[in-house]
Amino acid sequence: MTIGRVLITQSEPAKPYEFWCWLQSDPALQVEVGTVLVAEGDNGEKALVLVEDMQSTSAASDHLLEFYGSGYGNPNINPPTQPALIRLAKLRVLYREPSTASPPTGRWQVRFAQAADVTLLAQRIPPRYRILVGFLPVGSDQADPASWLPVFAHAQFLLGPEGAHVNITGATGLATKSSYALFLSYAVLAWSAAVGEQTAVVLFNVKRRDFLSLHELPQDWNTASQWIQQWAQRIGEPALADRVQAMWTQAIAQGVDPIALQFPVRYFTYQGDPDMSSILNPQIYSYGFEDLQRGDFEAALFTATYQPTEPQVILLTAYLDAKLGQGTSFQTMEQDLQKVTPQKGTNEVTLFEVPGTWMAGVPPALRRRLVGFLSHASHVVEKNNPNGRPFKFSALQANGLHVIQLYRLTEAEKRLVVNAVIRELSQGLEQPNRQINRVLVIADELNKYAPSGAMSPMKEQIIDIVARGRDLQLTLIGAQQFASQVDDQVYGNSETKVVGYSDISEVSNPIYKYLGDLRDQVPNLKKGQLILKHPVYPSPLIIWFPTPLHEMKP
Amino acid sequence: MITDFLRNYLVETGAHPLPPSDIPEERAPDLPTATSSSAAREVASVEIDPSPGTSPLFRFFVDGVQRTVPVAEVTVNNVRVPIHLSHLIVGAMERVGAELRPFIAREAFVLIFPYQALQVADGAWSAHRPPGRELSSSGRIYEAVKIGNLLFSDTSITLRLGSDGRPGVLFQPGDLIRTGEVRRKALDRAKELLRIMEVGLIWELRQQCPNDWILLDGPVAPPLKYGRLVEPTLQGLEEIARPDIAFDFLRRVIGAVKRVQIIPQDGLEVALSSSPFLRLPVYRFGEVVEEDDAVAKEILSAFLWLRRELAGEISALWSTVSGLARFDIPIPAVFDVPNMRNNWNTLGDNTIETSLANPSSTERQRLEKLLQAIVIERWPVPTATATRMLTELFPIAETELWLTAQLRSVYEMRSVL
Repeated sequence: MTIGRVLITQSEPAKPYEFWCWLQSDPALQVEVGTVLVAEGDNGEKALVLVEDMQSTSAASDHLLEFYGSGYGNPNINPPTQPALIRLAKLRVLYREPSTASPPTGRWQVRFAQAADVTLLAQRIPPRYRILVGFLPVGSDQADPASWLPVFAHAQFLLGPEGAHVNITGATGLATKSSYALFLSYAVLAWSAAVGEQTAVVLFNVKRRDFLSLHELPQDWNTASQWIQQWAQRIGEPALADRVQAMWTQAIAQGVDPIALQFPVRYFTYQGDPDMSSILNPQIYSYGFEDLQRGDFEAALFTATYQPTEPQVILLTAYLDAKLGQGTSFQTMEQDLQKVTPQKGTNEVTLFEVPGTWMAGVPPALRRRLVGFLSHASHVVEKNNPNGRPFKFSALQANGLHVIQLYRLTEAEKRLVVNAVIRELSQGLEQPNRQINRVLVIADELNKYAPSGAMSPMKEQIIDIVARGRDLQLTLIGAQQFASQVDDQVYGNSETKVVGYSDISEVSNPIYKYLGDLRDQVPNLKKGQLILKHPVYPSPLIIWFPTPLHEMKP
Repeated sequence: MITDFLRNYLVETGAHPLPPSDIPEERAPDLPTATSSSAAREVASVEIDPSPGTSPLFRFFVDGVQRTVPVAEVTVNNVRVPIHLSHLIVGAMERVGAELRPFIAREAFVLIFPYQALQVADGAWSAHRPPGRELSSSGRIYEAVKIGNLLFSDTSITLRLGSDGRPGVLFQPGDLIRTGEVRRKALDRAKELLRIMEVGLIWELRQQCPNDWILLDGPVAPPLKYGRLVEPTLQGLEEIARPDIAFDFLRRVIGAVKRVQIIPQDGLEVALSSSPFLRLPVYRFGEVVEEDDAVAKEILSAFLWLRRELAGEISALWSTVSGLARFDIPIPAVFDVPNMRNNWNTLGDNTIETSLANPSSTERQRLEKLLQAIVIERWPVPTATATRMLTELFPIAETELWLTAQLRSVYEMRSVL
């Protein structure tokens, strides 16, 4: 059914990738920002388009006329004729047939998209590389799975080697970033299992119990339906149940079935984690001096606000060169930095078994950093023993989820663990005979590890990982509340960007320019709704995703 | 120094400054308003609440638009003669609830030029008869419009018949050199044809919905001249030759005149009073025809200061009557009783005045109801030029907007050659 026509006027000229249409005057017509429509010409031209913006207008030129027209500002006047309301929609081209970079050549008819139209989008991606990333609503019945059409990402752009990394932005507390990262993980693992890849997902749990109950899935989809219904009632939005149920049904049809696929889940936590009793079979991790490498030490000891001096870096390097592999512990290091021998006639000192001389103030300064770090790192650092029980690449299970608990750790501890884990993963992926050939790392609060502004050792490592990740097959799914607080290189290297509900002050930052007019919609995004920018699609899409099943457990 | 003297003089006389405006007098939009006064008898004066709270009365709103462009020229005896193409559209919008919806529209493409004059000037033109049906004094014009196809009208001769029963001659071969006149006549012909189409459309509506009220854009009198040209049945409209047919045609049609050229010689001041009520004097004129306006004795003329609240808001307009609208109320719309079908046009001024002066008379009540129905149409205000904002009714403006949007562009029309 035709619902409008393409608009070609002096004030609204049609462009190759964006143009306006008017919509028929029918209040029941359910078109909103994010709706997918089709514009069709008389000669078989077809454009799949996304409603990017909408306006209601009328022939009244301005507010004066509206004021005058209501009995000279009388709100109680009820004129016998109401001025016609004209609804306009700004359309952004998602797919064009035949492919061309020219604007519509006429006032094409506009209609709602149907399943067959939206599948055109997937044509850009060979079936082997399709990874489900969300759904587009195309029908008015949200309880009907057919109303939720799958949107795919291209594996080579999502995971490498053509592009890599995903960045998710969204306000904290709306269960969007973590939930979507998990949905994406399920989709990647399902794809991996289907194509015979050996993929592992590593999730850093930074808040509450976000990822600590991933194993708690319903036994079957009947039980899942009950969970969904009860959850929707519980949160006071019963209407959500139909939508979530329908999207999961469609996800299953696309092969993303977390219940059937039974992805193994492993949890890694630290000694003294208050949540340990509720974690299924937790494996304790810790790090001794001998488990770390130079980058780990630098990430732990130094931050962007506490930049090391060059002599401190040289001393640390010399010390590690001399002591790593010698059964050294952090306690030993602390003691060694005290054992200084003054050089007669100079202001320099030497350290026991460490080549070189140092200005007298350097060893104490480095020691103070070490003591400061150790005093804040008792949960994850083996102070007295050379070795702890570090997270190992060999612990990864193919097509499994691996949760590393960071919640309640100090910032220094988090830096140490995240840096050490990522380093371990990247080194593991470089081994010739590895059991895993692809790793997804999900890290929330990315702004803490790779903040915009001053460089830090930790940030250097993350920048290095995102730069080399697509070759290593190490994909970072980073998330943060404010992308504007994340390093430009890290953000820019994320080929796939996802934005959930955020404050207008955040999205007014120029880094969101790629959203076009959809930027205005960010503060209005609903639960389960995101804007996705993926290299395969010429325009961002407003997509939906279902709430993860474990979050709905009664 | 001179300005000081002038200022002092004006202050002494108590003169008020005009609203600020950068529009010179030759372009003042209200300049054509009230250019002619004529003897008229006030047959009633009605006070209406500015917000009467009555239900809308009008169902249909009728308007016509046209675009006439020279599309070619021919050379005859070294004289270049333009040929015009006119796109004419008439239509009616229907009010359903509070919304306006297109109801019916008729369009015509008419080639207009002085064909007979060309024939006389150059015999070769006899072999170049224009394509399509000719819209001429022989009538049935609305029927031809409904059929469609290209039409043709010869500006060498009049559409109306003279007293000798033949069309008058407008152009002799020697007149062809008066290019301006050739162009003027083409425009006039387009306007005439538009009026004819409006009459045809009203009649078509009348057949479909005989009892529904129609608000016509413009005066009611001019169309009455063209009845015969519309279709034979309506011949009785001309000069009210058949009062019964005119009665049926007019009893549910009101004309809304937004640019009032003809005003009564006196008495109109009451319409401009600022009392709590709107005061509408109703006049009966004789036959008066101005460039774009006309009144007739078969039609009562009610004057209304339509949107007096806005008068001070529009600085481009400052004349006393710039906000004055006239509503043409055919006598059958008020004296609507079956036994008057054949003699309503014989009612004298005194009879009408007496009847309308009686508050309990059906005619007076009908008139008041009609005027209330007009007053409630004051809002909303259409987006239009300054004068139209004061005097045009919204549904009429919307109808015009709808029809204008369907007109072919000048470029499109010129591309025929």
